[in-house]
Amino acid sequence: MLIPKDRSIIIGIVIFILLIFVPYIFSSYVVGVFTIALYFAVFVMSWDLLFGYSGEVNFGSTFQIGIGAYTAAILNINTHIPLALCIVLGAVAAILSGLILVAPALRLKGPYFGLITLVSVLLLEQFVTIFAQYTGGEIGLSVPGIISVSSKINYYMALLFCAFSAMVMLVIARSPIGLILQASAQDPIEAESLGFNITKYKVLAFGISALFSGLSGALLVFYLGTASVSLVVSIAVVLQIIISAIIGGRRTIIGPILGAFFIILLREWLQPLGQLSYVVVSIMGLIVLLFLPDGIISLFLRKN
Amino acid sequence: MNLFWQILFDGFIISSIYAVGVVGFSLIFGTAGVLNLSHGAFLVLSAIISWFFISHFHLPLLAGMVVGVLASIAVSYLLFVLLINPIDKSKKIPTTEKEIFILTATLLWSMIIEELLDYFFSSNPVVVPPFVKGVLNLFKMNITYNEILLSFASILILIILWTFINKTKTGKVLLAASMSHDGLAISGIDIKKVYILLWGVYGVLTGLSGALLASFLGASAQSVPSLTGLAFSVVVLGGLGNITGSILAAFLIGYIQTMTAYLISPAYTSIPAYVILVLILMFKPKGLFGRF
Amino acid sequence: MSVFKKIALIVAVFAFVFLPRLVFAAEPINIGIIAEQGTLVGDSIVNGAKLAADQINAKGGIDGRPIKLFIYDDHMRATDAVQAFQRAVYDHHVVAVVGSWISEVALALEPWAARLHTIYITTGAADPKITQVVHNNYNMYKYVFQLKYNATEMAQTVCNFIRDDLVKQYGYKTAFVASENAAWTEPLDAEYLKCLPQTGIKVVGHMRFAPNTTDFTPIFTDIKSKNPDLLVTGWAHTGLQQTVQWHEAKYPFLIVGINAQASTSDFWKKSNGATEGIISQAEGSPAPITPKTIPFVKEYEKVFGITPAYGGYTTYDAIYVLAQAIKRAKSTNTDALIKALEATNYIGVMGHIEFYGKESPYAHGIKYGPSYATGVMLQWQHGKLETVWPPHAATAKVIIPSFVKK
Repeated sequence: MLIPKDRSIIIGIVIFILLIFVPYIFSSYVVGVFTIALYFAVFVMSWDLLFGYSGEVNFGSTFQIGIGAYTAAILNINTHIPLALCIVLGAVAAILSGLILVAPALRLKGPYFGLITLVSVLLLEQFVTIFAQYTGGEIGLSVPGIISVSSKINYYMALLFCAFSAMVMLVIARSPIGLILQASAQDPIEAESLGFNITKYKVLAFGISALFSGLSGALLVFYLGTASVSLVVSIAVVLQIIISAIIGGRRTIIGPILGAFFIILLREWLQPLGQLSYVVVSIMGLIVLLFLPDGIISLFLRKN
Repeated sequence: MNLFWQILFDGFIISSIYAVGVVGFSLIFGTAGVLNLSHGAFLVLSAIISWFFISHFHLPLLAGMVVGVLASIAVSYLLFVLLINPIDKSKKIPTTEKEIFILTATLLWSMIIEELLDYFFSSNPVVVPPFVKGVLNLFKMNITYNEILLSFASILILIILWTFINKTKTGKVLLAASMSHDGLAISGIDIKKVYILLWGVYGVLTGLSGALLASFLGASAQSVPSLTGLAFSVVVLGGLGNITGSILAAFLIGYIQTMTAYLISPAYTSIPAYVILVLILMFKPKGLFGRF
Repeated sequence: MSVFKKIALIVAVFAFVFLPRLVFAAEPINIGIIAEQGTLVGDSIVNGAKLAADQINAKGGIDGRPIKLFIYDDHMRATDAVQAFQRAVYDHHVVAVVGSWISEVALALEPWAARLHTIYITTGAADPKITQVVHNNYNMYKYVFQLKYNATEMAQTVCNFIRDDLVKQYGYKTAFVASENAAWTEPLDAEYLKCLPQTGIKVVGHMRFAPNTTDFTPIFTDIKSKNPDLLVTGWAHTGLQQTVQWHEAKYPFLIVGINAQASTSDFWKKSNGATEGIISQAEGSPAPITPKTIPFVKEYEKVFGITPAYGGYTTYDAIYVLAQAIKRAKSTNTDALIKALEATNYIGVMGHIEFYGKESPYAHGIKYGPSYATGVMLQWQHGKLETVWPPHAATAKVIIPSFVKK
């Protein structure tokens, strides 16, 4: 008998193997949709790492995503450094800015961390508008460098990146760090009294979450060839991330991948409904929330 | 000297409208413990419904507002019955995570309202017609009588609310509910009735303030997130659950924005307010005025 | 149901499904339309395209081949637009993609047009960057066209109107420029500050305000202290609040410029009539701009029940321009089609349409000027949008609101 956690890894491997065959079954267009879903899945996993293992609700994961994406895009446009370096520097900027502006709030209890992250996104949005000559303002930036024109290469890049991120985050989540964080989320006083410096671990989790958010944001920019507020900064993106995590099954790392695919593919499938598709997606989200609070992944983890 | 009076008057008008717009958010958190992230959607919904009935069915202004308030009450009860209550009662959701479930559920609720408004009324903003016409020329400003009326109406609503909560018996029950649910049960008060009253009051409050807000500032489906953001920031600044604190914080934010617009530049209106908010959260996280 | 009736029904269904195909035996020409449905301009883009395609198909299509439209909603998001573009190319094998009024979306689609070697014509986005990209790297971006004059040229339209009308007729002398702080208003404001002095107007102040501003009292108070005759504007994301607050508080300056939301017919109701007296630039209006304009607007109103926003004029023309290019190229081969589009010489509903060549900084934008397309100026008068400029298309004279100084 496998414990649920091992089973979730098996689910992850099954998903990975299934995803390998996507370009051989579907049209280039559908492959493009899956590519976006893979980058989005990394956003959701990063959010889940911080929430699921430290109990902190991050309303501002697009602050990290946005900083990563815009830094990489601005570097690519204004300098001649290679694409890969732009992406790495983007991720570094995401971590640093997060540590300066947001991480201090991790020592606070209650909803204050959530609020600071929310405000950080609103601030970033303002700055993008004000410094329009560098950021393109509400119009956004188109970047000259892209990863590849071939939809297959793009897809496999995204798949490898997503699988790698999932692996790293799973390892962290199941290491002593993850266990301490989980204990602290359930009973902070107890954990503190055992002599663990909870804030230090939280900051570490936040940093890792910021790293992958930033990387994925930068990669997404070089896949789509564009960076804009509605793509990588706006609060609406955060909402989609949180909803995906909860629908997929929070605190599992693999669940968020399911959630991301569920949201993006459902929206695609409902496209003929036009504007109403977003309403239907939200209603489906509410139904899962109420009747399947442990998310889609719990369907596979339940003991027979 | 003119500048001083301009900031004083203009800041007062905008602040009082902000205060009435956010106080409901504080009320429902302070009493029911719900951080309702669909607050902005409530305001915009009642504003757009009021506007629609006034401009398309030619209802008188106040009758249109009544329809808006009714819509707001309906949405308020729906939210409670369909989402808040089931999550509260659910055995599947661990108690420690109920907060995040309610946050997510109200966010989804907000998106549903927002997209439906967008679908039926387009995303362009609307303005509820002015209650009175005419202009007062004061200190080289053009102040409309409508702004003055809106400002007074807002203050009046705030006073009525404050009196209701602090001076009436029913209000005291609400206040007690916010402190201890068990205590209420012991004193023999039916908690269900308290909730019905509470969400009703919340509906009326958001309904009225939505129409007032939209008579000066306008409303559109797209302004939902920024209104929720405003309510959230103001209420945290004033101390979560502290109604008086939120009203004071609304004035603080209103005046900071007005001063920024007059003294620095109208391009940066909202930035200083956000920066101050971050600083306060870092150094005085319980808000400026604490709780109660 | 008797067997006979069943057979009759089946025949009827088959006839319904296949007859149109028999009439148009030839393979259809697929065109993708990407628009922001639910917005006034976006809906006009879709409707304009439908109307043009229906008219062309009713006359036998393009050399016997009917046009088939594939319509995608991008929800005003660049990601959705890029996905729609990919779908149009990969799944629906379109000859060209037309649409979107948001510069952010158009700039995001531009690299994809280049990568997928597919023609993209924006019929609503105004940023001159779109055509600068084509000019700077023609071989890569030759697939992109802008069938709408850009923000710099929009400012020129406003200046020309001020010179011809407000300065000559009313002797106005001073102006204050106030635009929303957005990327598209940067070239616009730069051109205002350059062309207003040339018309004899003195610019007494310039201000850019945050696009999320809702209380305009500080802004109007500041403007009023400079005592200008005119307030020259660049408003698209904003527009309603300041229009209403200007009207309610009776600020004594005339508002003229770009107030994109005010150039559509439902703005009267949204503003409860506060828009009376507002003057705004637009690409088209129900006025004799060319002989084709009024018949187009009448037909559009008959089919869709409202008058078109600017995207309707431009997109209607774009489909005709595209159809003619396919006819001339005698093929749907992309490179041949680009050559044919570059040779466009067509009288549309918004004016005489020709594209600038690759040596122009506005490569693949449409030519601007009196003999091409100039745009129109509209004013709200007694609840109706009247055309007040250019003189040959004007349906009314400018009326100065009672509280504005004359």
